[in-house]
This record gives sequence, structure tokens and C-alpha cells, in this order.
Amino acid sequence: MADDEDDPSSREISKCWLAMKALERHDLDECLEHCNAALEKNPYDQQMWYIKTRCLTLKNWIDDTELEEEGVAEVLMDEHATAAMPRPGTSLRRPGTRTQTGMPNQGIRPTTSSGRPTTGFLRPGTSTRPMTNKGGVEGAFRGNRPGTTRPVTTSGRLVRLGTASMLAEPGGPFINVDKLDLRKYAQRPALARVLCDYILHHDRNPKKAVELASLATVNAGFDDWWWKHRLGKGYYQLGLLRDAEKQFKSSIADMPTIDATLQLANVYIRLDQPASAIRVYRAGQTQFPGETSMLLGEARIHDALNDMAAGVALYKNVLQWDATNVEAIACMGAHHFYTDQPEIALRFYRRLLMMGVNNTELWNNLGLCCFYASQYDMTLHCFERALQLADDDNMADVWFNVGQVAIGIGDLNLAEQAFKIAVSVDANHSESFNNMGVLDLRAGKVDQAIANFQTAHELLEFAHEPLYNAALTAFKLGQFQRAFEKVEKALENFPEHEDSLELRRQLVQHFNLL
Amino acid sequence: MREQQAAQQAAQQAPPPRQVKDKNTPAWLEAWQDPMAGADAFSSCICTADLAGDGEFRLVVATAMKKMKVWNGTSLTSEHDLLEPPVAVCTFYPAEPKSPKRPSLAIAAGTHVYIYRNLRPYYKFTLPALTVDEQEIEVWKMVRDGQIGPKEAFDELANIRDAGVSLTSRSLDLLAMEDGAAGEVEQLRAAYCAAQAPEQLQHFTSITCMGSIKKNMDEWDATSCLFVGTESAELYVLNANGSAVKTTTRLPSVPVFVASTGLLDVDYRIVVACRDGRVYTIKNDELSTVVIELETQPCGLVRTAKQIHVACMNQVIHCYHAKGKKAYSLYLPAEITCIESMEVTRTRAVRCLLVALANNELRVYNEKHMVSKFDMMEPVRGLSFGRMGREDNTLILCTKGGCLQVKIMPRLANLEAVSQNGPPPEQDIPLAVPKKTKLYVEQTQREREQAVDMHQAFQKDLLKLRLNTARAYVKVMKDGQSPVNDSFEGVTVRIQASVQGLGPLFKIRVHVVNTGTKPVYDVPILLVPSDVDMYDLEEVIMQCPALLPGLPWIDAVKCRQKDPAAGAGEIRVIVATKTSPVPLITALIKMPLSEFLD
Repeated sequence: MADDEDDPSSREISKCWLAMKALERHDLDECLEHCNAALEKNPYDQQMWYIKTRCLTLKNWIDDTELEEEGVAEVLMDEHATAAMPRPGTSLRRPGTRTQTGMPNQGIRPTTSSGRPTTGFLRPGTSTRPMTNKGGVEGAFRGNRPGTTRPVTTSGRLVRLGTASMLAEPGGPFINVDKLDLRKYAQRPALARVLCDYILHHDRNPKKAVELASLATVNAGFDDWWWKHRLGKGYYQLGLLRDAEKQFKSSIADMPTIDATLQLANVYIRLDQPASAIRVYRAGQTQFPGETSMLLGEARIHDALNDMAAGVALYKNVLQWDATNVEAIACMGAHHFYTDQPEIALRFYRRLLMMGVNNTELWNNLGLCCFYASQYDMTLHCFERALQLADDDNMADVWFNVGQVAIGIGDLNLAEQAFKIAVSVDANHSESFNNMGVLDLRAGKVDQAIANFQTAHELLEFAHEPLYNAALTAFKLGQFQRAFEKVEKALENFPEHEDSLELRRQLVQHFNLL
Repeated sequence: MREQQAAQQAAQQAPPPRQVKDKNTPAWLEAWQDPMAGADAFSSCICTADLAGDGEFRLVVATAMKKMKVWNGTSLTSEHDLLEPPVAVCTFYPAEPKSPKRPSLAIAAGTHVYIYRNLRPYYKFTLPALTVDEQEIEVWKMVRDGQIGPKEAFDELANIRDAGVSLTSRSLDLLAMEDGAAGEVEQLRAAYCAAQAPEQLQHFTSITCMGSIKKNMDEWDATSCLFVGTESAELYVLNANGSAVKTTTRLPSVPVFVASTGLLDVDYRIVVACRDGRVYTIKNDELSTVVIELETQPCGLVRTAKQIHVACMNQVIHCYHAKGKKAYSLYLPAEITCIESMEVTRTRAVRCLLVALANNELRVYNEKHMVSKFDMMEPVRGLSFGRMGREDNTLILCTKGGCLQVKIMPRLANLEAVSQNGPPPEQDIPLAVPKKTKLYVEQTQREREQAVDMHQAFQKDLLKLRLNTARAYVKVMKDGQSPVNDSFEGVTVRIQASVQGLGPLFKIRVHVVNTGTKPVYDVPILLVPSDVDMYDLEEVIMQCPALLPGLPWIDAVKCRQKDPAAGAGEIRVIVATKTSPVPLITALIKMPLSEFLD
């Protein structure tokens, strides 16, 4: 096409055709240019209007099958209260309740700041535990990492995106949805569909989208899977999960689609019904064999439920279908690392490296794997790379790991320096505070150690290590009551922690003794 | 609960006798349960007896709510009010020739033993008064005569108490008047002295435990005597009518649990667990030299013909021979709430021990071996095993919530101990150790072959890393960027800063604490936004007058984002001193995105 630009004959080519071709090529800017030019001449050109709407929608399209981070409103005003009783193994809120044998526990495999087992791949949904509100209102406002905040609502972020996309347009918004007569549009299926997608993805106004979709679905006689799907999407964004569930189910019954299946599973995850979500994924897998997104979705739920063995089997399955799936490779790597096979984890991470992933986290993991697999000559080199690539968000973690390696080789001075740098980069790095406390204790600075454990605990309430360390310190100082309180809290976070149990046993024996 | 019914139930519910070997299948029949019985009682306040002399054993429970409840079968036949909270309930057969014999019911409460016959109050036995200390009498006499005022009396009595003299309740009540405003206490004491001084000074003690022992014949309806332990560390054995003290034994400490064997007139032993954590034996009116010392406080005592079982507060039951030699210990998974002996007489008698645990379990031990176990809905507070109605082997359970449960031991239940020899079954379960992979072997091979090169490369990298770390560390020190400074001029301060609110109005909370030993004065705390035009701060410098060691200094500053749509920035909080060019510490706050005001 570009070759023809100078050719005068190209001027005769219809703008509409050009725009359509540009849209096909996904050259959205060019498409917009053609559309704008045509619409300037004739604002009522429905053909061009259609193409421009499509184009703008595609431009602002984001994959909404991924689970977003929950907002403050979702956490605080959780109306989808299910059973208040503990549901061991069937709730995402309490991953620790699942009994598992032969898999690394909390003591070996660390948890995220919200108490969920870490996975090999960071996604907005993985690091938080849904609907957990431990610290009241203040806890709800706190984000994943300490020191950050949650968005107020999930849809709030979408609204922000919508506003941003509107501001980015010169001459005001292309379609003023509030002024449209949706009833009229609902009767024209082709136009209504692009308009609906436009409202959902460009304007981010689910309320209007639902309005349009419900009118259109009535016109279609309630048997159009597409409208039901969009209706479900709108309800989901509005937080009307049960309505969304109904629509998605109905849509899948009419016409099974990957998108609707993933969305329905998301609804169940939001409702904290992981077993239902898994059922949906399984049903989807029989419809669409080899669809990795469903396999991954199911694997993520198993991970979140602390059922690593089932998750790993699925990640393996994913890799059989798609050998370059970054998430599956990373999760397999993490799994092997935490099950004491760093040499295999190294293989997985190297594969990622060969695939062209080049970031701090990967180099950091490579360094750790090398260290624990005794490939010392490469260890520090990897960390050096990691530090070179690091930014403020992940540098603290790299320094923390440098400190860990330094402890491993017995260079406590280096370790202390590394931890101090880590906390200077990220003042909320709880793990570093905890380790600094341990080093302080070794150096005989007891008061500082206690203060460090306290800080570590305040920053990361779900961790058991700072509490156990504080309890042990108090025990050694003879403050048994304090030690008991701390060890009880540690056990609340990690009920099977053997050292804490032993310490509590000793304390109880001490209290009982005459 | 007729035997027929029980037999029917047995036919319906009891598993075949061979299956009872499985320890987890309950060897008990559920006979009756009343969750609303209001039977809140400890083991000592539960007993069964043939009160009417008709062979139907009634269940008597004296509850903590000062009620005595009597059940005949499953129906509550009578309820009696008690004057004081009961300590123990037991029955004894007074000396009388009449047949059929009917037992008397004794309820120990406060300083009295209330004796009921035919469920009617019959006689009240009061413990003999103790001698009052001379000095105490003197003090109260002086108070009565007006020689000393309440203030002096208080001091005098306090001195006497501190000298280790056991005071009367009157004096103790006076000494307890300590709370309230100064003038008020004086008035109260004066009023109390005026009211109490003219009365006769008497020193009573209270009952802590009670039991009964057969007098001279070992038959179930033979004449028996009561014995009571008191708070003044004495054990009284009463006569057969329960009207007078027959013998008194002085104990080294306050008795809490008692149990007896033998016949009073022939040869008897009363085992007493005391508050000093020792178990004493009284052998034929004399305190025996056999003393069992426990590691922790006792919480239950059971005496069988040859053995003494003592439950302790450290989740252990010790078993001793009658002479005080230890036989074995049972280590239990939770605190013991109560224990009781269970004697089942069949073709051969089986003696077991019932143990109720705080984790709602109820276990039956035959010697060292657990023969039965079941779970209750809530912890058991009191239990009793014996004859109820016409059923011999009945277990009566009172739970924490006042629920009453009756269970029957089926006659075919297997209570024989199956000893387990050899290693525990856990030993055969292999540990989940991951196999060493081929890759690992290859890598170790490489390590072995190129050890020198690897070591040299590692050392080189390590030196480089040390240098880089040291550089970064020095930079951190120089900039004062760390949230914890390390003894900078002998001052250690740490800071935590957080942000609250949805925006565009925020609140920045700063929490500074001096963890060192020296105070710091006059500390300015600066708030520096990364982009000056982004935020409007209410204050740019907060003045902290002093940071005292250990005391946190908390302050909050309002902050407003000028343009809510402009994304999010950062605000650096710097704690400085007036003497140093380098800040003490700094903290970085990542501001959240503002919500739109619309």
C-alpha cells in the first residue's frame, strides 16, 4: 500500500476501502486518519462511523479475561457473603487450611505479603488473597506491597482508563453515549454491536453497555450468545456477580466460547468459589482442548489453594501445548526451586533467558538457582546483572537475595550491608528487617534486634518468621509472657511451624512447673 | 432406662463385638442426652445412688447455680435450692438396722455438710471452729472498747497477717477495704468496725473436698462414714451419722482431691492430693511417710485398689503403686479436664481410666493402652461412671455448657488392652525426599573437575560484589536514605510513613521512634514532594521538639493533589538534626492515584 502512495491513481481509491484495509492490518492510526477525513466531509457516513468505532475500540482494548486487583470497595463492602464458617480447602481466603503432604510448606516456600503462596509469575490477581480484610479499614486500603494502596474500586481504574482515552482525543469524544437513543441503536444489530464494544472498551461505561445490551438481547429474542456475553461482562464490571454468572452461563449454553468461559471462571473466583471455577475451566477444556488459557487458569487456582502438585501437572500440560508459555515455565522453575531441585529450576530459567526474557527477576532467580545448585562461578555474576537491570520496585528484593547468599557463605558483614541497602531502597522490605534482626542478635545488639523484628512484623502481618524470632529472643531474655504471646501469633500465621510449636511446648512446660 | 431398652438399643446400634477392636469406633451406646439440663457441675458434684431403696439408682447433680437436681431415669424428679455453691456431693449409709437401707445424701458447701434423707434436709454438720489468734482477739477487744480506732486496728491486723497468722474472715474483710478515695475508705472501715466489734469473734474454715469410706464391711450398702478436707489443711473423718468428728488429721497443705480404699475399722488409706503439688497418704489415722511429689499441680485423682492415678496440669497422668512407686505415665495431647475410674465387672473385672481432655476428646485407658476414644461437642467438665437406673455401666457426662449426657458401655465391648510391640507404624512411611537428578550428578561432576576455576571465578566475583555493596552502602550512609540509621552520632532513629485517604485529599502519617538510648532534641521533619507543583502540603516542616528513647512521635499532615488527573508522585520524608548536614533518616512515600471528585 505504501508503495502506491505517490501514484495519483490511488486518490481514486475509496477512503472507506483504505480505512478497512488499514484496520485489517491493525494500523489503527492510519485507519483513524482516513475515517476522520471522511467523516469531516460527511458526518453522517454510517460506514465510516462503523469503521472508526471499531478502530477506537481496538485501540483501547485490553485483555479483560485476566483478574484484576480488588479494590477497597470490593474488600470492605463484600456483599457476596458466603459461609462464615471456615471452609478448608475450598476457599481462596485461607490457603493455609488445605492439608498437603510432600509439598513444601510455608516455612520453605515463602508467601506473598497477603499470606498467599508465591507463584513463579506475578500477576495482579496472584499476589493478593481475595476478600481478605485483616486489618479493618486501614488494612483494606493497603495494597499488595506495604506502602502502596489499593485502587478504590476495580471499575474505578477502568473509568480512569476511559477518561484518559477520551482526553486523548482531539475535539472531544467521538460518540457522546449519553445523548444516544439506545433503543434506536438496539434495533440495528450490526451498529449496536460495535457501539456496545465501544462503550465497554473505550468509554468504560458498563452501565450504558448493560442498558444497550439488555435492549438488544430483547430484540434478539433472548437467544443471541453474543449479547448475553456482553451483558455478563457489563454486570461483572458493575460488580453484579450473580447476574453476570447467569448471563455467562446462558451464553455458554447457546454457544461455548473461550472468552465467556474464562469470564465465568473469574466470576466464581470473585465469589470465592474456587471449586466452581475449576469446574468451569474443566468443562471449557473439553470444549476447547489445548486452550492454554484455561489450563493456566485452573493451575492458578490450584496454586492459590496451596495445592501445588495439581498446579504443576497443569503447567506441564500447558507446556506440551505451548512450549514458550512464559508463565508456565516460570511456575515450573519456582516449583522445582522450592522442592529442592535447583538444578532443574535452573534449566527452566535458562529456557526463559533463551526465549528473550531479560529482566531483574529472572537474573535474580538464576543467581539463586546457581547458588543452591553449587554452580558458584555463575552465581554472583547473575546477581550483578540483576542489579544492573533493577529499578526501585525490585532492587530491594535483589539486595535481599545478595544478603541471603552472603549469609550462605558466612560473610555476615556483607549480608548486613546488603540488607541495609535493601531497606534503604524499599523502607517496607519486611524480610530484610527480619534478617537484620537476626544479624543484630548475633552481634549482641538485642534491643535493635527486637525493634527490627517488630518493624518486620508490622510491615508484613502474615509472616511468621519475625514473630517467631521475637518470641525466641524474649524467651532467651526470660520474658516468658511476651514470648508466649508472640509465639501464639506466629502459630496463628503458620499453624504447623515446628520450631514455634516446640517453643510453645517449652513455655507451657515452664508455666506449668511448680 | 430399662435393661430391655438398653438391650434393644444394643441390638440396633452396637457394632458386632469383633469390630470394637478398632479403637476409633465408639464402644459406647448413646442412652440419653439433654442439652438444656443446666447441669454445670464438676465430677465431685455428680453422684448416683439408690435414694429410695427401690433398686433404681437416681442421678444427683449439684450445679454451680446453687441447685441440686435429681433425675430418675430420664425424668427430672426434683430440684432443691442450695444455700451456698456446692463443693462436693456424696452418699453414705448411716448406721441403722432397717432394711432395705437408704443412703443419706451429703452436700458439702462452705463450712457445712448438708445431709439429706429421703431428699429432705435432715441434719447440718458444721465444721469445728478454729482457735482464734490471741493477738487478733486483743485487737478487736481494743476496738470494741474504743481504745484504738479503725486506722490503728487496720495496721495492727496487717502486722499480724504479715507475721503469718491465719486471720478470721472478719479481719480479712477489713484488710480488704483498700479501694476508693482516701476519706471514703476511712468511713467504710469505721462503719465496719463499729458493726462487727461487739460480735463474738469466730474463725471458720471451708470444705475443699469430701468422700465416704465403708466402716467395717465391704458391701455396697454397708455402713459408711464421711470424710472432709478443709481449707485449714485438715482432714476430718466423721462418725457414721455424720454428726460429729471422729478423727482429725493435720496435713502439710490444703487438700484438693481425696480418694479412699479399705475399711475404716479394719485397715484404710485415704489419698490426698494437696495444693503444694504433693500427694499424701493417710494410713489408719496417721499421715504416712509416703509422699508423691509432682512436677505440676494436680488436676485429678483416682484411686483403685492398688494404684493411684494423678492427672497433672502438664497434660500427663502419672500412675503410682500404693506405696508411692511410679508405674508409668500417660502423655496426652491436650489439657486434662477430669479423670474417673471405670470398673466393669463381667466374667473378669476390667479396670480402666476415663480421661476427658480439653480438646473435647474422651479416652478410655486400660493400663497404658487406649481402648476407646470418642469426641464430644464441647469440653467435659464433670464425669461419673457407675450404676444409674438399673444399668450398671453408665457414664454420666456434664459438659461446659451444662449439657447432660448418659452413655452406656455395651456388655460385649472389648476393653482388653492390645499391646503394640515393635516400631511405630510411622517408621515405614518413607520421607518425601526428592530424588537427585541426573542433572545434579552431572553438575557435581563439573564441580569436581573444575573446582579450582570455579573457586577462583567465585572469589573474583565476590570481591567485586563486596566492593559494589560497600559503595552502595556508603552512598546510603552519606545520603541518610536508610529508614534505620546506624548509631549516627550515637542516635538510632527509625521512621515509618504512610498515606491515608482516597485523594485528592490525603493525610500523611509519620511515625518516628528513637530506638537508641540518648534523647534527641529539636528535630525538624521535612516533607519534600518529588514534583514541587504536584502537591499542596499543609506543612512542609514538622517540628518535633524531642525524640525520647522508646517513645514514638506520631504526626499527620494534610496533603492535597493539585491536579487529580496528573497521576501519582512521591514524597520524601526527611528527619534531620540541626547539627549534621546529613539527614538522620529518610523515608519515601509512594502516593496513590487520586480518585476523581464527581
